[in-house]
Amino acid sequence: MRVLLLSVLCLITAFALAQEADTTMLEAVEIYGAPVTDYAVGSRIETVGGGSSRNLATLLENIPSVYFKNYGNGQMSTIGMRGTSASQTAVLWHGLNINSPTLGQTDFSIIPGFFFDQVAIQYGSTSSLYGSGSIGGSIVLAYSPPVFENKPVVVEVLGEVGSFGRFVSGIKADVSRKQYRVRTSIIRSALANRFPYRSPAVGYEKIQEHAAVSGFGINQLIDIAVNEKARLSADLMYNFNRREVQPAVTSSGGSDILTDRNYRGALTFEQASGQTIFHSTLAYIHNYQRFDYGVSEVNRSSQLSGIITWNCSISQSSSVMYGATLGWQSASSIYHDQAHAQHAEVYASYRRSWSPRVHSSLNIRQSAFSNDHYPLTPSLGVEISVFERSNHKLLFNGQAGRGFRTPTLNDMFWNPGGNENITAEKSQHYETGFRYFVSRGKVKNSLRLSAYHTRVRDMINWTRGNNNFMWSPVNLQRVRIDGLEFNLNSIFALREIDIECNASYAFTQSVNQLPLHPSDLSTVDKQMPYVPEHSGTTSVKTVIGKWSGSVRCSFVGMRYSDLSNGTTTRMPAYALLGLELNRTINLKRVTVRVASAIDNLGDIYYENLRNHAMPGRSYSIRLQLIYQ
Amino acid sequence: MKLTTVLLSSILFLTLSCDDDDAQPKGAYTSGVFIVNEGNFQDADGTISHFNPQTTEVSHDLFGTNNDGRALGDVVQSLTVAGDTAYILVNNSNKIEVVHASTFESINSIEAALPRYMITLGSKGYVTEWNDFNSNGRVSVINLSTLEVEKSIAVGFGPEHLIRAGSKIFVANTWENSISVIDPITETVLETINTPNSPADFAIDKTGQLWVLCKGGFDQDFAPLNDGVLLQIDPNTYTLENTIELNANTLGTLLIDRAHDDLFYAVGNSVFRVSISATTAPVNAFIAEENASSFYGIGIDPATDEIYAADALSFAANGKAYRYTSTGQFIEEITTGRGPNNFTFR
Repeated sequence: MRVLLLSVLCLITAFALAQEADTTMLEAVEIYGAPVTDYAVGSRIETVGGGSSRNLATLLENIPSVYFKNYGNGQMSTIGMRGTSASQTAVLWHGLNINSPTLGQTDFSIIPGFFFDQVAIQYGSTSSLYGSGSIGGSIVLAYSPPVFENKPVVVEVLGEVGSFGRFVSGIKADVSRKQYRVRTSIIRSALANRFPYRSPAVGYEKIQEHAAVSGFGINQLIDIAVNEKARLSADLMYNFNRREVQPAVTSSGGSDILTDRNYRGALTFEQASGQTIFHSTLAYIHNYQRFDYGVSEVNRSSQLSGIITWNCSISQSSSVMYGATLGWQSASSIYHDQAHAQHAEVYASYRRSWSPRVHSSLNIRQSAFSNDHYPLTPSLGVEISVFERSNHKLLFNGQAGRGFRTPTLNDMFWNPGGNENITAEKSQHYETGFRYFVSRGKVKNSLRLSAYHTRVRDMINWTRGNNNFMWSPVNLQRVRIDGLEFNLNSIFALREIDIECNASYAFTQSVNQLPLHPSDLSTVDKQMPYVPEHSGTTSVKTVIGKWSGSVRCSFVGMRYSDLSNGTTTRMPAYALLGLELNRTINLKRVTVRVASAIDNLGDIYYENLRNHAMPGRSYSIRLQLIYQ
Repeated sequence: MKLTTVLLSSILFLTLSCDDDDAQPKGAYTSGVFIVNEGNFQDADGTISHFNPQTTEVSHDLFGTNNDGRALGDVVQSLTVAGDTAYILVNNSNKIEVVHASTFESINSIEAALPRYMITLGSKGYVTEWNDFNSNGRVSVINLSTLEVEKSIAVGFGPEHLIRAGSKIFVANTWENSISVIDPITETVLETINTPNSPADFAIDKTGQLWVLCKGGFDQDFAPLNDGVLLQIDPNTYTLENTIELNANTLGTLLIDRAHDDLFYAVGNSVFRVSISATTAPVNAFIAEENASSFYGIGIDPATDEIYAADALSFAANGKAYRYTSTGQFIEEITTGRGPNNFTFR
């Protein structure tokens, strides 16, 4: 038992260390379900606590290098990390990329944060660790590891009400015994979404129509301690989401309905023997999506994946991990006929601490896809402690890696137009940076600076050939991305008051390198759509006893909605101000947390996607009862 | 002194008044070419551009520029000018924006159900509407003075272009291979004529005969059947006078020259010219634009017979238009808005 716990702890230690600089306000949560992060030396990793009533999009939206294209409030929300597109971020759950096999992307608005204890954001191309899709970065969804002890039952009840008819209710029960842990989470949400807005594209105030959203999700975790060294875990998840598709601001009313049902199941067996941890996962995902726009279209896709890894500690200073993955995907709709694909991957990682101050990791993955594509993706990372004194230290990190994204089933098999001959998108990524920590008395400061350069080629674009009707994907676009990221964090731990100040800024130049059509040079050297060159967040959080409050200002710079970068496609920059006031009340066996928030305090009008309204000032209050 | 001031002021006033009445144009768009840019589906970024063939000056986003940055909406499908009023049909925003054609200042908007094309006859406008993707379309009759829909006439599935021929209106029901014939007096459907695959557009030749462009169909695997065809129909008796097989699937636009002698249609990045007396399709293209990916809209200037052809590229950025002389010689390239699909001449 202890060995198992230790191994799990070992697994997560490096992860916890890597995130140290970025997670000061978050409780340190040990994670599992992300067994490879031990080998992500030199990568920038940030973590955000899950557990709240928010969906993943709202949970991650204030991170400067992450841009969400929101198709409206509570509507479809797709990620863009470090100037890349939605399909160039891998979203991992038990090591399986849950991006839709047909669309290649994840709708972050329909994944409840409530199910997860932690969401890790790893930046840069690390297909060597995560496989296809990891070009701009990767999002790893994780739970706390089970503690096989007899513990009191913990029950959490959550309720939230907010502006524009927002109601969220949830319950989570966690039973831990020596032999097992059982955790059930259920969440329901509804949003009427009739918010007023005043878009310049309309010229007068309108009430948003046809944008109501409702969702339901259930997650069941079962962990069984097979013996002191082995654990068997099952994770079952079901998500339902129905929404009226929010029309563009210029439309009156709307009628399209989008219904999603996601079924996910993962079975994991983990065993420690000697210095080795054996880990195996079998995961299955089924996505059902129905789009009603006068006619009904149903798209179904499935993924089955088997993953095995061995993680061996060779010595105190070095470890190695190797493993293999087999994956299968299929899709069915009126547009797909026999659409399926398979892949197999083998990979190995080596981590070595050359001295207590110099760490490195080398990762390599060989993948084979059924469309005759065999990417080899190595990555190398290093972290050096340049100097360490009692009250300050300077860490340097560097990383180089390759990434790729295989074509989706739509790219290959969509009828008409699908092209089985297209190959994967590929990237090369170089990153360097440093972190500086200094503490003086009750003040702790940390400074992080990262610079990166990513080149993406063979990007898949659907274009029309020399005829009027057929759109078909080709490996065409090349994008060069240069970025700088800066973060300053200061914590003042005074006698009865803690203050944390945080400032983050990201500069992202994501530039198209090749014309989309041979005759059209006007798209060359243009910033990619929906990539703000400048974005940033500043926040101040104060904790006084059982009270805490925060002020946050997030800034998103000007973006273009297309590759022309013309004046008519400019989307103005905006800054959103948010306030939070929280109070914790400890009763005998119940902890009560009351959280109230005002979002978009300035009541400004803004858009993440052209001509799709986002709401003005909104209020919410959340009540959380934790019984144990 | 006082008198002088009064006199000077009067002269100045008169001069200004004269300027206002005579010398000043009524607006910037009293003539020229309107380019309809449908925009990217669901981005609601469709615009109208204006091209002045004399000066070759291009102005973009006329509606936004002249209406405090307002947007037209999603999938701007077509523009019809009648008198000094322009009607802009915004398909996926379910409306018709009505503006002063010379200034593009907004007048009002009319609700419509996935509108496509519009013609005007006297004081009335006739608009084809898809309704939805599931049911038959309709032609709505609009009172151009009140801008109110007076009546909707049920037609076939997927009505596209419509034309007045003689005393009747012909409507191309592109998704069900038929033409609805409407009597504009009784506002009823007189007849439904079956056609080959995908009737889309019309032209009237110098003999008063109606030409129908059927753009061709697709097989079960969505492969083009290359069965586009031109039909010549007597608009009074509905008898088929001539058939020209085009051996290709075409763009859904049919043009005719000033003399009403030659028809033009587009296939891929080529424009073909065919005489109304021909019985077979031309082998060689009239215009073949190697630089274009494919044409998404074509137009002919009724004053000069100059041909305009639009390339929407991949809707990822602004599109392009190519301008040619009446003999098909390249004149210039014009940067358009996003997704150019139609030209309207004034």
